[in-house]
Order: sequence, then C-alpha cells, then structure tokens
Amino acid sequence: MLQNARLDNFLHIAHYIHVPDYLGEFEQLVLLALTRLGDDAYGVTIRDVLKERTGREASFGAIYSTLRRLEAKGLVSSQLGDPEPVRGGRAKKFVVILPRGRAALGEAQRAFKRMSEGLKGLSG
Amino acid sequence: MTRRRIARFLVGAFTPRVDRDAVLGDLDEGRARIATSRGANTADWWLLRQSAIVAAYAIGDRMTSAWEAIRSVRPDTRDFRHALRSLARTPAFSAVAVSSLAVGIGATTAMFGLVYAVLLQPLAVSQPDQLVVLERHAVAGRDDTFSYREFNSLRAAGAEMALAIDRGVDNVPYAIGGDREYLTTDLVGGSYFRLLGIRPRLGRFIDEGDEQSAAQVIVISERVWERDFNADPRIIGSTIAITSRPFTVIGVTLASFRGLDYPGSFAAAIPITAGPAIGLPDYLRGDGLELGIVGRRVPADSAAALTVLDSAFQRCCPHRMPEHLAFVPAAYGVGGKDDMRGELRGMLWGLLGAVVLVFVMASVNVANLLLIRGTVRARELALRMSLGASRARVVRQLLTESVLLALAGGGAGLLLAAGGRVLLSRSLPRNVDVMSEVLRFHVDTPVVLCTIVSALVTVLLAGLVPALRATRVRIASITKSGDRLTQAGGGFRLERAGVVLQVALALLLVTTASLLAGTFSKLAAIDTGVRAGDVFVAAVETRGTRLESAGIVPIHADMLERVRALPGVERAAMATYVPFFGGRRATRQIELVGGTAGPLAGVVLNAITPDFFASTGIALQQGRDFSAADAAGSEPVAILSESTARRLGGGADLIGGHVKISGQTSAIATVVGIARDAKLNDLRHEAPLLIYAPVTQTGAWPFLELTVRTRTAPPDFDRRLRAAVNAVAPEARVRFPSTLETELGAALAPERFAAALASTFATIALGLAAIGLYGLVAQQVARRTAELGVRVALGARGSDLASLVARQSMSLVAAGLALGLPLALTAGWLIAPQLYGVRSWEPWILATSVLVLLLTAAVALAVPARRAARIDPLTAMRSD
Repeated sequence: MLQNARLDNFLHIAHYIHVPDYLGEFEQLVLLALTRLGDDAYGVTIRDVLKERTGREASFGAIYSTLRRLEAKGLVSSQLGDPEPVRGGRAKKFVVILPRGRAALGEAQRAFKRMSEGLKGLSG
Repeated sequence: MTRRRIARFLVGAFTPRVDRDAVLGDLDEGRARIATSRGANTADWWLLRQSAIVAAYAIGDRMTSAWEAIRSVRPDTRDFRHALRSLARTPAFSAVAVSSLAVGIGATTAMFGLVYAVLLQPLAVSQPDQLVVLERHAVAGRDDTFSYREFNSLRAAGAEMALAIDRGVDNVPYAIGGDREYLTTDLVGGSYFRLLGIRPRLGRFIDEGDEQSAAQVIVISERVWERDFNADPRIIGSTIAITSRPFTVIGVTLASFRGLDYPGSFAAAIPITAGPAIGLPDYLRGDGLELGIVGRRVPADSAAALTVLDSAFQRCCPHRMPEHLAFVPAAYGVGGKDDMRGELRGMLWGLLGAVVLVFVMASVNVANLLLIRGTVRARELALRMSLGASRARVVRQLLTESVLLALAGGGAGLLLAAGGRVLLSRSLPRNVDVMSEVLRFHVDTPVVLCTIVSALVTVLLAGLVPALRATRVRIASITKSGDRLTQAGGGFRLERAGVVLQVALALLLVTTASLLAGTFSKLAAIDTGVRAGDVFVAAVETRGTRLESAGIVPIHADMLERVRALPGVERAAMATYVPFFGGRRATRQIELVGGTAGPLAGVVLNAITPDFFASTGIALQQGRDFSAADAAGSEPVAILSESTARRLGGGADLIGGHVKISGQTSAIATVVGIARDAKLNDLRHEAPLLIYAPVTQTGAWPFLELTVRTRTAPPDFDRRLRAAVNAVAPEARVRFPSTLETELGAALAPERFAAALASTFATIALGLAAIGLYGLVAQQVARRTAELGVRVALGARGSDLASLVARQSMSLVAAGLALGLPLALTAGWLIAPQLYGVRSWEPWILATSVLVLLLTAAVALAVPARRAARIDPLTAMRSD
C-alpha cells in the first residue's frame, strides 16, 4: 500500500517525467532479482540472488539506493513485514515489482536484444 | 565504541526512519551469517563496512534529490508575485535581510574589485603572458637600456621573437589650446604598437612607415583626449605643438593602456625618429644606452629564444663589463619605484579575508532570519502541503523568496560596491594620482561575476536549508493545539548555532580592528625628529630643460632669496632629500679620520642649504648650521646625525674632527655640527645614519626639494612659490607641491586605511551579531509566551522572566566568545607582521573586545527581555 507521501512523489514525478523509464544496468539486475524472488524479495535475498546468479557482491547501500530510486519511479512498491525474532525483533521490508516495472524491464531487455542482434564475437 | 554501535549509528543517522529497522535487520542477518562461517571479528568488520556504504549512498541520494529540487526551480510568475507579496507583508524582516545581503555582497565585491585591480589584473594588451622586457644583467647591477646597434643585432639574430623599442622622456613641453603642459612622451619604434597588439580608441597607431619617414605624428591617451580636448571626436588630424613643432594626432589609445610598467601611465607617443625634431638627441645614433626593448615570445620557447638572443648580444658590441641578457616577464607590469604591490599585498589579502568573514556573517544572519521565518510560517506551510502542494513546490516557493532577496541585495550591493570603491581608492596610500588609473572603477567582468557568484552562494546558503527544513515538518504535530506549550529552549538548534558563530566572528573582527587601530595610533605618536607645522614642500626640477647640464645649484641661491621674500615665510631651504617628501637618496661610506672605529657604509648623504634644519624642524644638538660661507671653494664641511656621530666616535665630541667621505669621489670634511636623528620615510624602523653636506660643495644636482616654513598657511601659496621660482628660471618646473603634514599623513596612510576598513567591518559585524541575537531571542520569547504566562500565574515576577531569558541567551553569547577567542588569537598571530607597538595577544585589547561584545549583546537583549517581563498571564494563555 502506498503511503500519502509516496503518492505525492509519484504524481509529482509523473507530472515532470514524461519520458519512458530508462533503466540502468544495476536497476535491471535488481528488477530481475525481484521477478525471480516474487514474494520473498528483501535486502538479504536480493543480495544473495545477485551473488548467486551474477557473481557480484553488491553492497547493501547500492541495493537500497537502487530500490529507493525504482520506487520513486513507480516501478516497484515496498511493504514492511512482521517483526521476526530471528532478526532481533526487526521487520523485513519486502519489495515487489509493479506492472509498470515489468513493462520497463521487458522493454530494456528487448532493447538489448535488438542491439546485439546479429553481432558476431559476443560470447554466448 | 564498538564497531556494532558505530554501524548502528551510521545507519541510524542517514537512513530514512521508515527503513531504518528493516536495514538494520538485513545487516544483522548478513552479519550473523558471516559470524558463523568466518568468526565474529570478520563479521563485525563486514558490518562496519556495509553500514558505511549504506550511509554513503544515503548521503549521495540526498544530495542528488536536493540538486533535482534546485534544478526543478523554473521561474513561474505566480511564484514571483506570491513571493513579492509575502515579503512585502513583513517589511521589517525584508528590510533587514536585504540590507544584510547588500552589505555583505557590496563589501565583498568592492574589496575583491580592489584586490583584482591592484594585484591580479594583467596588462591591457593582447596575450600579456607573452610579453617580456629585456634587461642586461652584470655583477654591478641590472639595467634595462640598450643601444640601437644592439637592438639591430638582436632583431637580426633570428630568434622566433618580435622586438620593439621604446624610450620614455619626461617633461616634454606641449602647447595644448594655449596652455603649456609637460607630458611624459614615449618615443617608439614602428613595431611597438603592433607588438603590443592593442586596439586604438580612435584612429590608428604609429607604424614602420611613420618611423622611416620620421613623420611628425602623435598618438595620445584617452585621458589626455578627455582632459585637454574634451573628447572631441574630430581630434584625428588636428595638430599639437611640441616645443613649437606641429605634430598631427593620428590616434587615441584606450584608457586601460598604461604602458608596460606598474602602476604605469601613458600620455603620448611619437615615432622615435621624430625625436630630433623636438630637440631631443637622435637615440638611434651612437652607442649610448638609450632604448628599452620589449619582446613577445611564446613562453614555452622562452629559454631557446633567450639563448639565441644572448649569443647575438655578446657578439655584437663591446661590453664594458661582463653582462648577459635576461627576460623580465611583463604580464602584470614591470615594477618600478612606484610599485607598491609588495607593500600592499599582505594588507589587501588580509582585508579581503576580513570582508569574506563579514559576508559569511551576513549570510548566516539572513539564513537565521529565514529559518525563524520558516518556523513562524510552519503552520501555513503544513496546511499548504496537506492541501496537496508537493514538498518540491513549497521549497521552490521559499527559494523564490530567497532569490528575490538575493537579487535585491545583490543589486543594492553592486551600488554599494561602486560607492565603496570610490571611497577606498580615495583613501589608499600615497601617490594617489599614480594609482588612480589602476583604481578607476569599471564594472568589469570580474566584478560583476563576483557579485553574481556572491548572490548565488547566498541564495544557496541562506535559502536552501531553511526551505528544506520548513517543509520537513510533520502535519499532525503542527495542527495540534498542544503546540503552544513548547519546551524550554525549544528546537532552534540551527539558529542558536548561527548566533554562536556570529558572536565568534564578531569577536574576531573587533579584536583585529582594535589591534590595527592600536598599531595606527602607536605609529602616529612616533617622534619623527621633524616638526611638521606649516611647512610647504615642492620639487624644483630642471631635467628636460636646457638648465639640466648645469643643474640647479648655480641658481638656487637666487631662488631661495625670492622665496624668503614672500609674505609669511619664516625659513626656506633646499635639500636633495626632504624627510617623508622624497628626493634622491645617495649613500656614502664615511670614516672618522684618526678614529678607531672602521668605516661606516651605506650612510645617507643629504646635500642641504643653510636653514634646512630650521625649516624642517630637525634640531641641531651641537655646533652650527651651514652658512653662505660654506661655498664651493671653501673648506669642506659636514654635519652628522647623532647616531652617525655615536657610531663613528663612540660618544666623543666630534666637532672640529674630520671625516673622510667616499663615494664616486672622496673628500675630507670638517664636522661642524651634530643634528638630531630624523626618520626619512620609514616610521617603523630606526632612523637611518645620515650625513649632511652643503649643496654647493657636493657637485651638480638637476633637481632639489624645496622646503618652506611659514608662519601661518598663506593663501594661494603654491602659485606665489611657483612665481618666485620661475622669476629666476622660467624653465624650471615646480612639481608635487604639498605640505610636510600631508606627506607625514601619507606615510601613515596604509595603517590608517587598514585600521579604518577593519573598524568598519567590525562595526558591521557587531550590528549583524546584534540583529541575529535579537531576532532569535525575540522569536523564542514569542514562541514561549504561553509557557511564560504560566510561570507568571504560578508566582514568577517580571524580573524573573527577564533574567531567565537573559541567562539563556547570554549562555549563547558565552559560547560564541569561547569559540571566538582562539579565532581572535589566531588572527592576531596571522597579522602580527603588520602590527607595531601592540602584541598580537595584547590582553587589554582582548578584554575590551569581549566587553564590547557583551555590551552589544545586552543591548540586543534589552527589548525582548523587557517584553518577557511584561507578559500578562491571561493574554498569554489566550494568544496563539
């Protein structure tokens, strides 16, 4: 559920940004991670799946920063879970990808595919 | 502090509160995992690193979003009109804010403009870094004159370098519109102006064709054109008579061109080959060293060019002594005896530093005012945001107000700067007319840039933080009516810090100003050995006239006789050097004949006429003054200054003794008198060693300084003096008429200037600090009205409330003083070289400055404290 401030930001951004959502490389990776993880996406799991699938040790700071940006762009939404004893009573903040985010991700992937079509020498 | 706690602090400080818990949880989870696989120590280091990165990203994101907010400020007329109305509704605040800004921006711009004009501005030629002046260096010294033969060899040497010749001649007589005037004229080679690459204001410049045909053409400066020809556009083609020969004006230079010297001046130029036509020698003939050479080269090829030129230089012509060629970079003007940049540099940079502090204080003041204003408007802003205005929109609105303030302040500041520059240049040290060209206020690009930059900086400094903070409020907490009872001291953390900073800076400036004022008063009280009174001084000049070879000595007695005959004159004399006025400083080596002490070198020789001591007020301690009997053929005599006598004779009576004076020639003179020490020029150091000799016995002098002691300042004295001198020699020129008092004042001018300026800044700083303190306290009292009302209802008296307010505010002042004291001591240590007679940590100055600040604070607190004392509990509880 989006809070009031988020709605405000969203409308504000929507007012100013009429361009399609261009995604950075890391943003795409994070969105893909969200797609993979579905309901179980939060800081730790996102980092784990990135490590597992790309070999990259992303820092938490980079991940949070990217998630903030994606949320400001309206591509993902976040929600606090229940406090969990295993984390010393702290809740997890789950992130899900929104339809708009899915669309942006798809477009970005297609753009890459179109760009690399037919080029030789790229290791498959 | 443990690493875990540091990590928690880092995350806590920089992550938005909503996310904080989740982030800490994630990090804890990660840490736990690493602790099981690699141990607690590695885990803790990992945690610390990750937390630091989280914090770094958070800061970066915040800066980006602030930048985006600033970038999204698009001018919107609604915003401007709204801002204008909003500012107009609070005229007191707006007036104070605009004036603070105007003062800060104006002072900074004026001072920077001054520093730029004096120290940083390059010559007004094209690509000044390529220009050099040629010098010849020998063991005995250096000279910047060459012969025409040398110039030709250098030109033919094949270095990748353009060269041109130039010779300045003083006192060339011009007849302009019926008046006779003497101008310094440059005799230039045909390639001179082309080499400099300047553009004419009107007409054209002298070229090779003019040089070849020895054309009688002349180029004048814009100043001469304005002054003597009323800027008549038909000047080109008209005629000026130089020594009665007609010269045609072909061009006018821009006023910004002042030749290659610093400070430099340019009046007129004619082709060098036209010199003989006006009675000057032909500088292109003979082997006399008459010409200056200026060159343009690419700095990277400098060394190579110099080598080529030097070898040509060595080969071409006979040298009396071993010498080699050198380049003197001319980009900022070649310094001569009027080059005061060395003297002024420290002072100017110091004053610029002080004015920047004032600027910072003004900005802090405006920021504080805006912060307070934001707090006052908190409810209004919260309401607007709850009705749908985005934070960015409200921030933009507030920033528009700041921009308006900055525009108004910047505009007023520029006007202040213009006025300030005029005042500054008027009060700058001696020889103002030499520096006046340098200091003419133009609205130069650097000055306007400085103003714009200052205004922008102020907008950011003063406007952004309050705007961001004012919109960070939470809606619920403002609309609650319980807001009225705020806790003691209230938030206001930033504003309080602002006031503390202002008090500290004010203390710094007040202390520095006091130190400089103390220096000035100590210097002004020095005994110079000279009695100023109503003493007129002037230089009598024969150079450039036909009297030059004989000099002034043959005619000086007649002149003095006529001057003494003028009404009101008590004494008159001439000398080669008059203290604080100037002249020629010649030094000799002297030795006491039959004495045990060795020779004294570097003793200043002052050739004087009788009555010199009476005229200048230098006391004769022993023996007699020179008289008419001490003439050319009679026994050589001398008078020593007391320290010279002491150094030579060790306290013995030297009257009647003999000294050997060695310079270019030697002579043995009888000591006939001992005079009191007199400072010549430099107030700070000991008087130099002096020896006086009669003018008639020391050879020919082309000029002498005249000193005339009068009973009361007779009216029109300059003119009568000139008439008296010219009655004997119509061609002799009386220059720089002044009084000894004026010249003594000029010697003190740098210190007076620095003290005056620093005091102005200090007063401004006190005012700003007072305003800042008043604003804060008034605001606090207003906010706490309800609480204070409760206290009264519970039995507190008015005086209790007043002292409560005062105590809490004075603690701020105390903090400011505590911060300011080390700053003041550091500043004192930095300016120690400029001080005289006061220690940089002089205790009574520090104590007085602290007292001044406490008094100012007390005055600032008076009104709010009284208001607090008068609070009536009923109205307080009803107030909103």
